[in-house]
Amino acid sequence: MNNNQKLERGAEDIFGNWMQASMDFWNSMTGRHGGMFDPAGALAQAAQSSSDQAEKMWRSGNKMFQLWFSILGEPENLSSFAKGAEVLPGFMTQTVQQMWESFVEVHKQLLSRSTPLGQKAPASDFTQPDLNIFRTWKQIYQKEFQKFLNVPQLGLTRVYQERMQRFVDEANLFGTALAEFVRLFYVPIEKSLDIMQTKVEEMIEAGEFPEDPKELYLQWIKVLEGHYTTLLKSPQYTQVLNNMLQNLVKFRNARNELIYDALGNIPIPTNRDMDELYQEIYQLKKKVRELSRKLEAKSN
Amino acid sequence: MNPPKIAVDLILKKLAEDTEKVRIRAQKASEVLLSPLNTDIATTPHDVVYQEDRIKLKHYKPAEVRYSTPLLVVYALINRETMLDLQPERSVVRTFLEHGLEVYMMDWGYPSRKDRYLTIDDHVNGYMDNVVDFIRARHQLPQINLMGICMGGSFSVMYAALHPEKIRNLIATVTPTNFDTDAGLLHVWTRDMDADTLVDSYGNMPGDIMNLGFLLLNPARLMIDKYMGFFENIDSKPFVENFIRMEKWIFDSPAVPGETFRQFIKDCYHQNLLIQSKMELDGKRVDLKNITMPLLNIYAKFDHLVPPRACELLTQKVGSQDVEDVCLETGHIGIYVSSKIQQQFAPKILDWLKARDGSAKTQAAGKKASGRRKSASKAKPAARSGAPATAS
Repeated sequence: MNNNQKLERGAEDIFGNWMQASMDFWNSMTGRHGGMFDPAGALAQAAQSSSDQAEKMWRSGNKMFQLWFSILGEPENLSSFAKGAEVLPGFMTQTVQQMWESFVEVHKQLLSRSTPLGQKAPASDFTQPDLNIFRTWKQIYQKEFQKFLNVPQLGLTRVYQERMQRFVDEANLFGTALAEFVRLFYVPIEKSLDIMQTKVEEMIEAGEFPEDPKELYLQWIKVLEGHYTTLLKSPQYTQVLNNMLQNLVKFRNARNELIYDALGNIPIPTNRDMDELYQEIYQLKKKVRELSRKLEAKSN
Repeated sequence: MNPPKIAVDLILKKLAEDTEKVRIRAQKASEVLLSPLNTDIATTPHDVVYQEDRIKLKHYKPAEVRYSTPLLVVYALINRETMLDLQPERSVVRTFLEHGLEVYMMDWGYPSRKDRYLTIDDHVNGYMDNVVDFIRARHQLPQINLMGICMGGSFSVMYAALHPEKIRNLIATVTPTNFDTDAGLLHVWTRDMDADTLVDSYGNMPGDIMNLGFLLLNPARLMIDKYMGFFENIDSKPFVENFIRMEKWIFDSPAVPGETFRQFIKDCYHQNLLIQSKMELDGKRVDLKNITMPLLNIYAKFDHLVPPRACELLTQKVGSQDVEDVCLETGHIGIYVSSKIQQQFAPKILDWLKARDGSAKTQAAGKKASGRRKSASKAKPAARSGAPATAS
């Protein structure tokens, strides 16, 4: 017997002993509870039938419990249980490792994107590399994290669990799309401030600094307007805007599904219920209008 | 010793002066803001003479009626018709009344969730047709004059094409009919917009979302500079009152019924069906050649929501021989609220209608003067009035 086998054997013995002790404990507890369920006195007499039923259930449960643990306590099963238990830390390690790798990836992206920050970008260029960080993050999210939210759910509450997971997923995607939109929308402010800084430096060097600070504001707002005009016409802005809107709608729909589920348990109609009703009313009204027009035309 | 390059002493002096000015302004501002302000809008007296579902028909009667045919004004579903009567001294409605023109105005109201299934057909062939019939019956007239504003102009064009026998004269103001242009940002943005997912999710298109979109058209001016202007003039009571009136109007945004929004985006912005006479309302084709009544088409040179290119094709596509294009040197809202443009906009409409009014004499004069014409105003662009880039 090598060291590993010895260790395994030792672990099995400990587990087996613990199993035996716990079975003994529950046996004695069952015996005591059994005593408690024994009819004694008038009140107990009245409750005898339900008490018997409860005792029966208790004994049956205990029997299953014992049976299950005695099977588990067999050496070969204990060994496979121990092996199975080893899987859990492995799974955890893998998950943490994946998350860590993703974090490192985002960090690497940030570092590589931050290199050109000190460089000047032309006014018409809104494809600044640092904006790609949102897409990189989205890709990483979809590749590494989203799958956890797509794990199929089981049982009676499967639908509700899946809705909750979808909500979390859509919230994450909408958050990313919104952040990308806000970042892009901020670019003209950043650029215009950069330009103004250069201008002010030039003014100071040339000794032409305006006496009225409002002149600087007017120059800045003009530069800012120019940058926004360029940005708002760019295909990238349209794409980011539409992407944000699409994600907003998906997030909203996922959130509404959760709310509908919650409202289903209380006597409040949902938008979905009301929409069905409104559609029927709309169609009926239209039909009534059409018929009354026909009737009017006939009577004329 | 060389004099310093920058006159630091002057800059500091100016700063000290400004600080003092700000202090005085803040003191006055608190007096203005804490005093009672008159910020009511749409104060011209009127009666509500017709009501159907959420819509109301407002009637403005002049002291002396000098036109034989009343005018029905149809505003857009976006924002509200109160823009035509924002403040007493800059009210299109008041100018019309002062010249004896009887005005009816469509108030589309605030659509609720139950209105989400209403289509353009329900608005044009439903509500508008009922209102036109009501006015015709009330005045015992076979035809009335129709004036449309922005989206309400598009509805009016559709109505005139489907019911030409009920309209005597048609006036389209900042009315988009040609959507195939890159001149306006709205045209660019909506090209890729998925109206289906938005409408399916929201039901009706919320006014706040549309307003946010309009603010994003010119963020530097509408989100920053406009409010800087406000703080600079915060000590002036008339300025504050007018500014708040405008704010009230801008952010009073009803939602647009979902199916109407969907159809407008898909049929107009995506497929540009209206100007091609291919649009259909409940199976009825909107043929612009059916517009045979006189048509006055007014638009704004600096309109970035409905640029001239979106408006000017209309007169070429209709069947009428009596058409006129007027391009005013202002923006989308300036056309109705700029005090300078007020001297041209309403008087132009009044003169044009007078020339085509009911009596045989004036009708003949009108026809003689008619023909395809194109004119442009000589007015300069309106000064900053706090007017937003909001659609109407």
